[in-house]
Amino acid sequence: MSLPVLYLRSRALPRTAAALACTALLAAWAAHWLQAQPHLTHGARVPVLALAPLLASSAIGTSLYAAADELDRTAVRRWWPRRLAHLLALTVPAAAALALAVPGHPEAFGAPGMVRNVLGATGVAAASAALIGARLSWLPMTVYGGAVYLAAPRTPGGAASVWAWPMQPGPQVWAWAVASAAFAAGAVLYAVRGARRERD
Amino acid sequence: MTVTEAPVRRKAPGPALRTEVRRGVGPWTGLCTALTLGVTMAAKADQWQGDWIETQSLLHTGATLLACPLAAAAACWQGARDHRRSTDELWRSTPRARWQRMAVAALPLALWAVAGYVVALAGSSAATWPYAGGGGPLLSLVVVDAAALAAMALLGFAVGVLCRWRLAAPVLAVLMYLLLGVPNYSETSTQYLDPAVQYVLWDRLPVWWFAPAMAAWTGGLAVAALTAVAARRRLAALVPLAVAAAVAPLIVSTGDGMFRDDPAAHRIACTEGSPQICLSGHQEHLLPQVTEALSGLTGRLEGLPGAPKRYVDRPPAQHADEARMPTPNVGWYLLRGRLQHKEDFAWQVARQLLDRDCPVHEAGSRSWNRVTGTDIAVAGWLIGSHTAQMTYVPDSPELRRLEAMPDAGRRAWLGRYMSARNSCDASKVPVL
Amino acid sequence: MNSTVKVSGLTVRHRRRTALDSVDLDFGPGVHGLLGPNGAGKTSLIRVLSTAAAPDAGRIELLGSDVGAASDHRARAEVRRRLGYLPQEFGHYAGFTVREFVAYVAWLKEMDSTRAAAAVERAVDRVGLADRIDSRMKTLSGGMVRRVGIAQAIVNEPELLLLDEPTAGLDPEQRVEFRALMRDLGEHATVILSTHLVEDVVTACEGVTLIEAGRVAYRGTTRELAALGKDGGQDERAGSPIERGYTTALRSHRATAGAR
Repeated sequence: MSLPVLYLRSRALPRTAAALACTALLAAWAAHWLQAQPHLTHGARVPVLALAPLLASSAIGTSLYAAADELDRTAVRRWWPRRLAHLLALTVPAAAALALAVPGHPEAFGAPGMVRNVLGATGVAAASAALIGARLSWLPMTVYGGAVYLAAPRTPGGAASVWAWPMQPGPQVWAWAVASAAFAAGAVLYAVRGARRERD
Repeated sequence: MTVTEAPVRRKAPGPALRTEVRRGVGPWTGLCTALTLGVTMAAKADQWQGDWIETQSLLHTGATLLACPLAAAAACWQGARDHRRSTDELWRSTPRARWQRMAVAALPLALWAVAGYVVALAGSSAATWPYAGGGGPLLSLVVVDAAALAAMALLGFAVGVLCRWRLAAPVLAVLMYLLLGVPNYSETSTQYLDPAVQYVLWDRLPVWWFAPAMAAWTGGLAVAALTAVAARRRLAALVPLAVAAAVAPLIVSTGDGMFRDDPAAHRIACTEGSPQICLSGHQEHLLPQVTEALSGLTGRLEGLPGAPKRYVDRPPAQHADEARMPTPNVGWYLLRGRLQHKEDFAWQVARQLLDRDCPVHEAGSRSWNRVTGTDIAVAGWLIGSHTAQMTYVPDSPELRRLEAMPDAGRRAWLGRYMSARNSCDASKVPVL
Repeated sequence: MNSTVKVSGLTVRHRRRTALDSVDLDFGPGVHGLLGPNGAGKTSLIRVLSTAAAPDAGRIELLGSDVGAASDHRARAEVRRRLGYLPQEFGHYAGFTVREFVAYVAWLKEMDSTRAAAAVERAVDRVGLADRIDSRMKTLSGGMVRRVGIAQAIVNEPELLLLDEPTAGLDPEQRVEFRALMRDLGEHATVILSTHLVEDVVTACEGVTLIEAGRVAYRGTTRELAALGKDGGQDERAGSPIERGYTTALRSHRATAGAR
């Protein structure tokens, strides 16, 4: 077997890919169901935009777990390009698949908002993996997402587009800025440091 | 060989429970619960501060939709601990019953989740109390929320024991959110089985058995799940399951009937003097502010025949002696116990006062347009012409004419007008 | 000899592989070494004796009670109170302090809670960790964790102590202390020590049991095994007498087993 294939298997990527695919299908179904409800419009897709990226980032974050971390660190080749490739190889398809799950209405809660939320959530998860370990990397984003989910004001924009970026409609510039910064920071942190070693 | 041993106290879980409460994910769960609820409450403070029902409704939503999934996820993580740390092997060689060990591991999560909720409740109560004019949170809703949180923690723990998947905890959190949140979209009485459903409480109170029944339902399910996973005699799970199954039909069949009319909300508290301003018993403390906000309007109407003797915030809209006013609700008219948007409040009262609930075919006719124009002009004059022209009636020749009238003439005209204020007969409305 | 551990016809299977094949053994008070190559069935035997795993067939009598069958759970609980066990893979809760962890095990062993606190301190002291008793487990080195493992096993002053590879990760000095502790404990209790370090057996154990491919290959005292080594080989480079005895016993067992 070739080296990339072994690498993929050592990081349990097939299972992660399956989890991401399930998330996208679930999101597509939920978005469709919500829009089909009487009295509800495309605006009712907010829960999908909040929850699906959370699940996707949890799957990606936990997949950053390295079973033989000490061995990896002793490897001759530099790890950061591989770590970065790993992260991107999961994030890009996940963002694309989830964007397809919420067709239409890019100005409200549609594909752009979904892509932004996947990027931001994955960034937080990757940073958490580097700082507290991959297994618990889902926790900070889950707590944060939960905290802003009801707290975000109904009217978009203003200061809330910074602190409640996952709850903003697609075109909010500041929400994009925060999410992109989170992704960049998470990617760099993970690429440089790798997932934190876990003792259990 | 028989074992001869002094009788010992083997049951006390004290030190072990204390350790489990202090270590591991328990304290973090409590912190995250309090933080999630705290942020939610703080960000929306304008919409609940000063009103017990609103305070508790938002807290209820946060606790069930956000904190419950979180507690379930944390407990799921705790439940998988023995897989993760490979301690199962050693524990199997100890005499302590498996269910006791699991109970001591699971209970701290439930306790911490409830503690986080109680902290958030205490904080929001302290924030609401100074502006609410007495009262307090509904104990039965607190019990329902706390029971739901504890039950979700125990359920999550049972899932964690069974499921070793790394993603089990976050996936469980999302599934719990869906499970708890989706019934809110339905209108059937089965939705009352969901502890996260939104209760309409502004004029209603839960019946006495509401809290025990909901606690028995959620708790019964959770204890049954944990027993099935942890006990040596798995069939023992049937007992709590039977309790839950016995309560469920009661909840579903009663449905909306679990809430009775709140006598305090239906009681009308009025000011002395004339005209009377009346609010529900819950808002009695707001009467002086409302009276003050309406003083301009009532002053202009004073002594006129046909002017209402009472202003009440409930139907009927048309009544010879009564006028309807909007309820001073938190989120718009009330901010931390202060009445705001007073002009709008007066404007709404004036519009309701002059409301003609007439058949549709009249609308649009020429004579009717005149009546509508007159009504708007009078409403504007009643709240004060200057304010009205700024916001509500920017360009009205009728209002200017009314302004220009001499006082005595205006009073006479208004007297005729007021006696026909709810009439659908355009000819009875005097021309301005 | 009054036996505290008696097994007969003990069979343990892992899927299709037979780990223990109808083994008959008995042990009395004292320290017993359990030697054998990797995968011989030592761990399987210890696990079954610790009641952590159930045998597929055979009878187990520990401290006078039958504990093998599923219906014996009352007797098993009674025996478990008087048992100490250190598994090969010693799992622990990293967030607990040493004191909390050992006290937690004491609780699981249903010790009298009024005496437990003192027993915990004594057990931790006996493994030389008194100065780290309030440290979190995650701050300890591998050898220290192993010693906590021993402390939790002896916290209830067990009458039957089962240790699977207890000296793995201990440095030479700690190993010497450990052997002294074992000799001390062996005066009253039945200690069964599984290892592949022959020196541990020489200095700490009176009896030796050799296991090979799921069967008992040799039983005797440490001295007898060493004597076997003196008879068997002359080459000094082949190791100490006991190591040579170990090899000789294994070979002769393999020869007879192969002939059968």
